[in-house]
Amino acid sequence: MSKDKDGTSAAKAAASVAAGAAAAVAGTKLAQKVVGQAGKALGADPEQPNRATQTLTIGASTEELFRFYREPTNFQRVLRNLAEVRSQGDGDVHWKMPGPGGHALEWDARLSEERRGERLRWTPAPGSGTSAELEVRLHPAPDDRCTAVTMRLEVEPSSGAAAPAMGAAAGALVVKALYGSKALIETGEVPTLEKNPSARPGEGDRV
Amino acid sequence: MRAICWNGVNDISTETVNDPSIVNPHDAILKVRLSTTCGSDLHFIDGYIPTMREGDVIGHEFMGEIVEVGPEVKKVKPGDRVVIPSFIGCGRCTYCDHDLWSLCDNTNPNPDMQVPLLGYPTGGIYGYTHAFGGYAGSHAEYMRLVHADVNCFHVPENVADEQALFLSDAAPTGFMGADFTEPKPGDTIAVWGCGGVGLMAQRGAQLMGAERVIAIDRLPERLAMASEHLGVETIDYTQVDSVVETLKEMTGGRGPDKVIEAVGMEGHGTGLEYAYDRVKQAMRLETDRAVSLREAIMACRKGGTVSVLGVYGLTDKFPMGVVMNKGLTIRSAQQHGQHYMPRLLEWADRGELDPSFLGTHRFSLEEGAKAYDMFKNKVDGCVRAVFTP
Repeated sequence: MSKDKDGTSAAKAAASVAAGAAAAVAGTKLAQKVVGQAGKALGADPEQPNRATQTLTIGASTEELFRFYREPTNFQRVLRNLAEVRSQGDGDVHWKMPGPGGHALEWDARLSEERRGERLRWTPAPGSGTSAELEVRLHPAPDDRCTAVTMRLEVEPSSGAAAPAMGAAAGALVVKALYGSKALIETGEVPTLEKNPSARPGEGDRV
Repeated sequence: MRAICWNGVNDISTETVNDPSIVNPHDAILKVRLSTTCGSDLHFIDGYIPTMREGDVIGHEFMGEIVEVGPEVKKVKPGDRVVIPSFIGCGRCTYCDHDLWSLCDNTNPNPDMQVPLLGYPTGGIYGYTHAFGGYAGSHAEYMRLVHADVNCFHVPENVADEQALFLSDAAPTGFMGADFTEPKPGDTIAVWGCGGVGLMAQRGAQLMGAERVIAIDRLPERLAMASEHLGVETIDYTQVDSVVETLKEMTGGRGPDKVIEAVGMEGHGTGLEYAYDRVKQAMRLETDRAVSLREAIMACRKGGTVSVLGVYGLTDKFPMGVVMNKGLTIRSAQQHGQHYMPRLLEWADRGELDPSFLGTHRFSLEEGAKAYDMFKNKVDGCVRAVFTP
């Protein structure tokens, strides 16, 4: 595993947020504050920092985007090797994503609300160790044929990880999911560093 | 393949890395013919810009030959000789649609790294930090290009590799900086910095119609390039008491109508303010030594335009009161190369733009560390080190 060598706290915070390893630097109050600030910028709710919300306008209709997010394999296409998203039928989904401290978070999500062209909401299925709720809201944007997509992810790990670190990890996932789906819908592909040449060992970088 | 990699602060070496391959349908593989150092590389080499990772392949100013294309690539094919802007556009999002290519929404694989720092992500760039995408760079035998159809520009037969190379970054960045000032007949435009970008900003201002161009630097060989290759007037800031007063004298007391700053966060200067910046930057209390930016803002005439091309992080003591009270307009961006490339290639084809003089030194990839050392320390008058993989 390679590491950052530039020695600035901002660098460490930014790199760790994206790598889903925010808790690795969350040992001190200052580091927690930095991670908290990064999480806030990524849409983490200051009142409830394990929750992140972001909005992005995407060039497709509400109906097209409803169909897109209703299909769990599209989350997998967008998040590539950052998370595992497995369909369990009837809109139910099994999620696995990197969490704070390098521990994977896994949960089963049940599609509990769907309003055509407006909203999708997945709530925790009974028995999940981690409790997570994901909501996608769709609003027609002023631009012709565009939609404002608001994505909210709230994760409560069973391990009780620090909330700011959780908010930063959730925020990073939401930002990746929104920009990745925008790229896929508007250009037909998701930007990726897979197979990216480098002098690091391993098969390319995460997403 | 062999490639020049960043291993840590001030630690550059040539390594063996995996060959790139087509990953997405709009990708192409380029055989790099020429690749050059850029002043902005020094910011992460010196450790002032975060989110580099050990083993990253660096380099973002380049040209070469297409050797393979993805299934959705229609406009370029193997054998084509092309030049590519360092910032990557998708050609589909609102920003690309408005010719603001470096702001592309769809080409940065790491938007979550930039949102906390900038509020919104920029487009991706080759061979730079992971916040700016993390794509492997051009100081390599081959590289993967993304969205090849909208980012590859065919090089006309008349234009040599050495000319096309600098149309990848120095020329479009410099010309964009000149364009921001909307040069008009009668205008005097002062340009801080006679590196590759500064010299191209000077040439851009000339070609776009400025009456006078005045270049400011401290290195005799670079000032000589400005006057000999471009015919502009020059100021050696180490030889005058005050650049601001010198410019006033040269412009009848009014000051330059427009100013272009092409230096960035590791600028040099003289006097107390420079010493202050040097100490604060060394102590990591600020990321920028913004000496030239502050001077450009002070020198600009009332109601003028300040065009900022230098790369900055967090600037301390930014003179907002001067900007406000003098009614200045500030314009800035990373390069929107795709917007300028057709015109640049036309100028190059007609012989009106030949930036090949910027490439003062040639190296093989194996000499990466030596080349960057010469470039950084400006040894032997090195303006740009050019690699031939």
